[in-house]
Amino acid sequence: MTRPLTEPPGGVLMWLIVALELVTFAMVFTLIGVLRMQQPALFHAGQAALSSTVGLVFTLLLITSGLLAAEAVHAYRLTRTHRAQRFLFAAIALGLAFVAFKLHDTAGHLAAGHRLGVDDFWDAYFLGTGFHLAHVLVGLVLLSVVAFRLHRARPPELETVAAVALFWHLCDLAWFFLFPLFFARA
Amino acid sequence: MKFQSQKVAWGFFATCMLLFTLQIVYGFIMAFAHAGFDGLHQWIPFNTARASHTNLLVMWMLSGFMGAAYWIIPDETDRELAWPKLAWAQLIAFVVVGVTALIGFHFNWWEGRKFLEIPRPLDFLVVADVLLFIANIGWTVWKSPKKSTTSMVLFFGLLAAALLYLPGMIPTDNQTVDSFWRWWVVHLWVEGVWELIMGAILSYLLIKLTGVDREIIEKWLYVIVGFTFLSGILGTGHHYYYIGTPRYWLMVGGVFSALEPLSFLGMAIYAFAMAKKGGRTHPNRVALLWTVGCAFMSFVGAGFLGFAHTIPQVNMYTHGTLVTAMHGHMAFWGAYAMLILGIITYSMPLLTGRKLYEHVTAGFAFWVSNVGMVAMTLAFAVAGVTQVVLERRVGMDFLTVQKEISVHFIGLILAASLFTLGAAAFIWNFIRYGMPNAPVTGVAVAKE
Repeated sequence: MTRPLTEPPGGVLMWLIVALELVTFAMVFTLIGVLRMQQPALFHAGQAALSSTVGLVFTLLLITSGLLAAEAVHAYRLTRTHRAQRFLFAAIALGLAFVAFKLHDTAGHLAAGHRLGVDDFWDAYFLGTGFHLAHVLVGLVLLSVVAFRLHRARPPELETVAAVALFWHLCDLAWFFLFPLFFARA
Repeated sequence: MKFQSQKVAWGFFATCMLLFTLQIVYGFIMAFAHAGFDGLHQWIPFNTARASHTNLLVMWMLSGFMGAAYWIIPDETDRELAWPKLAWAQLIAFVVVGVTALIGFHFNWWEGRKFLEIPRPLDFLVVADVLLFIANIGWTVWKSPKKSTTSMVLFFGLLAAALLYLPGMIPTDNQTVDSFWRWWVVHLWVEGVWELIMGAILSYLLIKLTGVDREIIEKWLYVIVGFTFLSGILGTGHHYYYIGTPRYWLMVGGVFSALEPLSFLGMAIYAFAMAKKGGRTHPNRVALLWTVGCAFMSFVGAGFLGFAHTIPQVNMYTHGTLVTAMHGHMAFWGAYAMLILGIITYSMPLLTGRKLYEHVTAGFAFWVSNVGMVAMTLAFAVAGVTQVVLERRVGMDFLTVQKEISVHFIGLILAASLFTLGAAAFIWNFIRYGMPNAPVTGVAVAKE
């Protein structure tokens, strides 16, 4: 199916938001990349405290959740509302699991004495992944609002569901860059 | 004019003109002092002139916003102000507090905190005054069945501005902590909630002047303003560079203030597009000129020139130099001064029933003041860059450098004279408009 450029799935507004978010994240990635190049020893030391297995779990939780959100949009397009809602709840559950695991992981780092203001590595780590986490939380709120409204008398339009899923994919995409920048050994 | 109570806007606008004039006077005193002619030093030392110059700016911006709100809110909500007499009383109280503060500065009664020099007892009076204002427009909006996006954004912007005055009153004996909170007021005003106020006034002006559908303008303009607002919040970090705050503010400030020009550019493009789309049917062409000019100049002054020294690596050299003055002058002029002059230009013919926008001085005021401001910005830029090179690269002493760059202030004075010529034309027009005495026509006509 082809559609005009002015009517992208999810609506122009959400694409505009995603584009601006990507610009912002791109600056964050560049900053981390520059710090990594400038201070390789510091980065190496910091990364020793990160587990790549943990990083992989984060990644799998997010992309599986993204897949479920995409399936929800697909089901909703076919007007299979119950199926769409189940997919959305599953996506939310994995998103919440990401948040819980992230908080647990962060608590461990804080207990080990790694925190904001210690050095550039931990500043970049906490700010970069924290900024991402903020987006995940917003995404979860959006997904929940849509999921709980699917059975209302006036259910959300397909475009709204697609827009929310699009935002959720943005969180995946941003993580794809954060993952190698922090968890792949320099 | 649709409602009798809108007349109070004129009082606030007249106050603007008076404070604007005084602000320019103090600007000249400082420019001459910089150029080596500091004859008034005994009575008005530089720090007093500086505090007066910036506080007069803040005061006339606030006065302009209040006037704009008293003009726009009745129009948008389709009813008289809740308490018109209170609005006049609140204006008088505002002027009294302002004049007291200004006189106080000349007797060393001040706090010495940049932009928030007003002494603490007066702070409380300012808060009380602004709360009366918020209550007045808030009650007007609340009682009206018509709640347009523009009136709501304007109200919440003003409410947030009032609340954000409070962090500046948090007591501390640490200079860095004091600066930390001070920027909550100053930055979160000008690059935060004031942008909501700006968005609302801009959107009101564009709706009225271009005739483009309210739905289109309100939706997209508020999206753009929302972006500016969000990037501006974390952009606060650019005031925390090298003042004793943790290093991570370099990252936060660097990333988010780099985003700010993007949304300012969006605002400028959008205003141009709407002006083009709307055609040129509205007779008050000069008001549209100020409106679109405001969107453009705020991009250049706030967005572009702000970006020029917001990257931490650059700011390491430019922090606290005349480069900041370069950015500050055009940013405030473009974003807020032009906006207020725009709403004044739009509302004066309706307030007074005279159509002076057709007069040649109206266009003259716009072009000459803007060309003058661009020239002033260039003069500051040259002086600022020279200062950075000599002081921060070569390592010369601060006062020696000030002597070296004093010649650039001759250029600044010339540019400022041009600017003043334009400003004087504007004020002269304001005076010629006279008192508000236009017949109130709107309600009956609109309801028929």
